[in-house]
Amino acid sequence: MDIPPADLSTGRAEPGLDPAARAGHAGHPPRMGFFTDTSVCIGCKACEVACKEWNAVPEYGLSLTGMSYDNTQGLSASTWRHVAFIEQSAVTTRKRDDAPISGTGAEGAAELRWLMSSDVCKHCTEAACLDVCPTGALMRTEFGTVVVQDDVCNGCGYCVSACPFGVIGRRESDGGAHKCTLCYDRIGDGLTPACAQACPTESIQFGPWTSCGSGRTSG
Amino acid sequence: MPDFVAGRPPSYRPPAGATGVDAISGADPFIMQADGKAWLFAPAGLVDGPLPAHYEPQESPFRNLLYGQQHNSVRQIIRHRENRYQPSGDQPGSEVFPYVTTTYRLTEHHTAGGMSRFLPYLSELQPAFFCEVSPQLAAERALEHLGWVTIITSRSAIEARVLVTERIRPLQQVGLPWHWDRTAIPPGTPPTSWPTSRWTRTCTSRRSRPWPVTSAPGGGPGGQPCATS
Repeated sequence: MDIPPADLSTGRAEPGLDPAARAGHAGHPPRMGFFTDTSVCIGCKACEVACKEWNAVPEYGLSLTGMSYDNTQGLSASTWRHVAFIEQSAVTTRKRDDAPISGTGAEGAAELRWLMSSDVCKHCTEAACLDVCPTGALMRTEFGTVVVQDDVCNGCGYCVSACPFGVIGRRESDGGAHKCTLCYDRIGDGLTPACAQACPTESIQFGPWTSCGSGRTSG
Repeated sequence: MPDFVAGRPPSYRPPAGATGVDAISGADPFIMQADGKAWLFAPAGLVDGPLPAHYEPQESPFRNLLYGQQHNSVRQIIRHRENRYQPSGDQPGSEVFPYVTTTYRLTEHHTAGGMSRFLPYLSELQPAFFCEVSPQLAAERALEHLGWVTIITSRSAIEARVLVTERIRPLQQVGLPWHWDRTAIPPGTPPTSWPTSRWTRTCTSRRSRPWPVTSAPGGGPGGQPCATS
């Protein structure tokens, strides 16, 4: 499927990529989203903590996982930001002067890279969770984001199995489904989401959706 | 300027019998010294140096390869029955504790952990005291990833979970983050429970790292503590 280019002059996505309009929001503000530059992520987990602090998300699991420094494991109803750590070793095939953390730098030496990346709800254009929700608790906001209305959600869990990224979950304490709101209560007042605000390296960038992703990398 | 005569050229040389500031030539820049010259030795205060030499730490298992003398001869040693030192270098018995430890901080906790290990949001990011070892050391000492290990010095022994990682290169060292204690959520053992007390003289800072250790697999709640092998 060809994704049509964004209209940078108006800041609005093409109709196929404007879910807020399709949801019935007339005259809505520009669609907002995250752009995460994993090459500058330092694995500080400030995004995880800031998100929990702002949204009063409960602590979820005190277990040493052994997955490098990732003890959060994944997204869930009580984890809306998750920093993954990957220790990747690759055998070099040629001599490199700029090889990071390599043994001797010689041919055949193992080169170790420590990759870090912050995972979050994608607020999909075609959101499966929203499509399967029987109560209408999951809704599309005027910013094009997907938000759970906690007072409407009946805890059926259809959204949990529908999400292809395993983002949304049900919380045991209240039975309802919870996920990243893209700080609906912050962006509605012109602020940036808590995670983007806290990120010290600006790995998490927030802004109009048309200037993220393909708009940014091609320009 | 109080320390130098304004307008005095670098070519000025003091005449015979000059006193005070006039006795300092224009090319003597060390204005904190009475004669304006650089000093290597001092009449008081400096008990070490001034020229640097390499000394091994108190309990280093390695012989000093750069300098004939193993230890700094003016190091302050505190003799106490609770502060037994381990043999170093070529001394007999230094092979009993062959592995070096290094301590470091984790991003998720703050300084020694006293303010962060009770906070659920931070504790869930790094919940347990662990040590990091290279795969080579783990194989050598039969350590399992996420298993328990007992880390032993001549003074005490502590128990920790094991993280086997290639980020530790084979110097055979044990990496120890140092944020935990019994009151943490969940409780852990601080590696500061068994350092030695030894101070450098000149700057009076505690110089007890690195600590050579040995290890034994097992330990932890319900585990049998192991003797040194």
